[in-house]
Amino acid sequence: MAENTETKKFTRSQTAYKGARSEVQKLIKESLTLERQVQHMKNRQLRSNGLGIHEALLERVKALSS
Amino acid sequence: MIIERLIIENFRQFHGRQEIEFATGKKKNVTVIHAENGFGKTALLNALLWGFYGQDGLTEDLPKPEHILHDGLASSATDESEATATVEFTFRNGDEHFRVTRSLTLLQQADDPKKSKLELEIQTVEGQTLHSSGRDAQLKLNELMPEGISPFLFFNGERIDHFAMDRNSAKITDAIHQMLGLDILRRTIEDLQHGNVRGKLLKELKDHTDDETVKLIDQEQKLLAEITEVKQRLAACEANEAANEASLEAVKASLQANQVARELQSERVKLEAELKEVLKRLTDLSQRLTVRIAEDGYTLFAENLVKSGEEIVKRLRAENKIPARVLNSFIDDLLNAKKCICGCELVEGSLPFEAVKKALTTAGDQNFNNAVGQLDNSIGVIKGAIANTRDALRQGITDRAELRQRRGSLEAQIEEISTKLGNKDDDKVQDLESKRIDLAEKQKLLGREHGRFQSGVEEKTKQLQNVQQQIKDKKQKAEVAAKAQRRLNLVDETIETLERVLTFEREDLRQELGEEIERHFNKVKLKPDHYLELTPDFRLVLTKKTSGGKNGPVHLNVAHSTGERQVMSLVFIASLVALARRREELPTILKDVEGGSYPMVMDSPFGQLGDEFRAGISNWIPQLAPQVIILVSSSQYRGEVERELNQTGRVGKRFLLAYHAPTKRPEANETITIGGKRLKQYFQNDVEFTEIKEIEA
Repeated sequence: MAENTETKKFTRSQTAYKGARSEVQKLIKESLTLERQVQHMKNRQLRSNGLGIHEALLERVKALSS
Repeated sequence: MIIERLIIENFRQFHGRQEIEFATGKKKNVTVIHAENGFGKTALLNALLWGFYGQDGLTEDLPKPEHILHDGLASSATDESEATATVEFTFRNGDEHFRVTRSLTLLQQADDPKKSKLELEIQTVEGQTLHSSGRDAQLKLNELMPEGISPFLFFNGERIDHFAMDRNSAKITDAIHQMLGLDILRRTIEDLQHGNVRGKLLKELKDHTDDETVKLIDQEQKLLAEITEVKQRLAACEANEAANEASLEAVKASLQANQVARELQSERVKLEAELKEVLKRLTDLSQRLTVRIAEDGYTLFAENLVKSGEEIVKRLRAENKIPARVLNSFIDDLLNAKKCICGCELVEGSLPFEAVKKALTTAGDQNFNNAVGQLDNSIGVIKGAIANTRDALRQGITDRAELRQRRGSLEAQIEEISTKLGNKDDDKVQDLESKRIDLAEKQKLLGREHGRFQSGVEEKTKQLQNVQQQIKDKKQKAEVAAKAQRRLNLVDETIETLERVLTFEREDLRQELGEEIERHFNKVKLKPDHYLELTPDFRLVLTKKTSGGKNGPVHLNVAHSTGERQVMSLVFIASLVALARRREELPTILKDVEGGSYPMVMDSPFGQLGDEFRAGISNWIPQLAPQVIILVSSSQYRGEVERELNQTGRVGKRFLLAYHAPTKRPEANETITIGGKRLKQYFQNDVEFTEIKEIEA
């Protein structure tokens, strides 16, 4: 019952996110972290390793689904 | 964010070092800068933008944007590396203080005006002073005030009415994405869909899979390319529609403003609004009729069947076959028991046995009895359904005929108005009406084109989904292909989830924004029955509540002038800024979303406003943002604007841009009157430049 009450508090977007399988949730989380790091950079490269956002995203996809 | 001070040196028409200290109080939050046209309002707005973002931040209406240095200084400089334009400003954000200095030498300007030098100094809460420059400094500034949101905070009031134009939902959604932090979701989706991410995984899959799947993948790629192309054509068509709509609105506004045409044009606006409502009701009704026919239409064809069913039941009753007096199960029981009810033995082959057995041919069956009973009931139900369906369809057809008649009548009246306007003994009206007809015709054509592209996208998307499903359904035997397929599935599922998240978050924010819009619009609206709404498809619509018809009050769209659109756009921006301030309170899956408190810098906010709005807007403008900077000309700052703005008691600082030049601009006066005081605003000087003068607030 308590769980149901808790579930009702979620917004539709939170429910959509929580409804996805864990790999998808992880990829969303990691992609958003990467995007935030390059958000204001003109060249959209990560400062930590110089990778472009696309390379970094592809790397994360491969790591999560090896 | 509160901007405290601005120092300009040799930037555009500001010669030498000039300084402004802005009003920064909670109550006294408004700075008014007076300047005649051409005296430097736009340049001042651009000084701040240049300080924040360099060359990329300048507004489109700034002439010769590559000329950053004061022209006089640039032409007389002897050392190109010495002559420098500088913009320095300080601001506070939360408890931290910032000093931004951007400069450009004449040498750099000649080489590439984008190569300005940027320095940033930050006084932290702990009392530390941090220094950064170049890319790092720009990154920090962009984090504090993302470049994408600057058009909503630093703008020319005369050019913002586009938000309120029909079909500009793309600009509205874009503004919501930018100001409320949803852009990151959109970028993530785009990046995951990119050829370097999804495309590479697709190539891996293709390189390790069978011919049939390769064909499907090729087909998928072809469809994706076709969809992109049709979407581009759709976007171009929408842009054309928006531009044509703007021209059409302008012509309508001109007709409305014309004394000869005003009455007829007003009448036409009313008729067009009603026609729109009638067309909507016709579409709804046709859809309801279609559904009714699809679901219950069969009943009308069942009439003969029902009739024969009734006759069968009637006949069976007449023949006493139902209800059966003797059931065959009873006869069977007697034969099995080998004894009649009269006590006679029923031996197989005997006369009594044969006599009882014969009764089987006339006895009734229980199942038959039940079936006939059910048929009887069903006939009653179907008869009722036939009557209901017939009544509903008759009513629907009558309503549709009435609506069609009303449509015809309205179209005839609108046509008649057009003829009357076209026949007016007034060249201007005739010309405007002729233009209106051409533009309206073009709009119809564009609408049809729009529909064609739209259905093209939908059709191809269906085909694409089908092909993608086939690809997914194929079992990948090769390990590499299976891995690539898994990865591709992961990316596709992630994109799909993100798209749903984005849609939901955008929709939830739209509702919040709608409430803000209502709250703000209530402060400035002139007519109590007018409402400003943000529709589910992100259009800003001004509606009028009427007493309506059978179904209660209805909201009719109201035509609006450029001035009204400016008010609607201001309300939209103010609501967006207010929502951005409390962004962190709104639920989201995004981490670290912070509320942003931003200043607003408005060039000519009263520019296109009709007299009826000027007082209300002047009274409301100080509440738009924590800090408001207004740049106004004397023609805009007259009468009720001055009175109302002063009455708010929120003007903390006031400046005048004085113009020095060998000759005065013919359209400007030598003096300006502010607060009852005459002030000199033109000074004869061999060097042309603008001087910033603080005056009494």
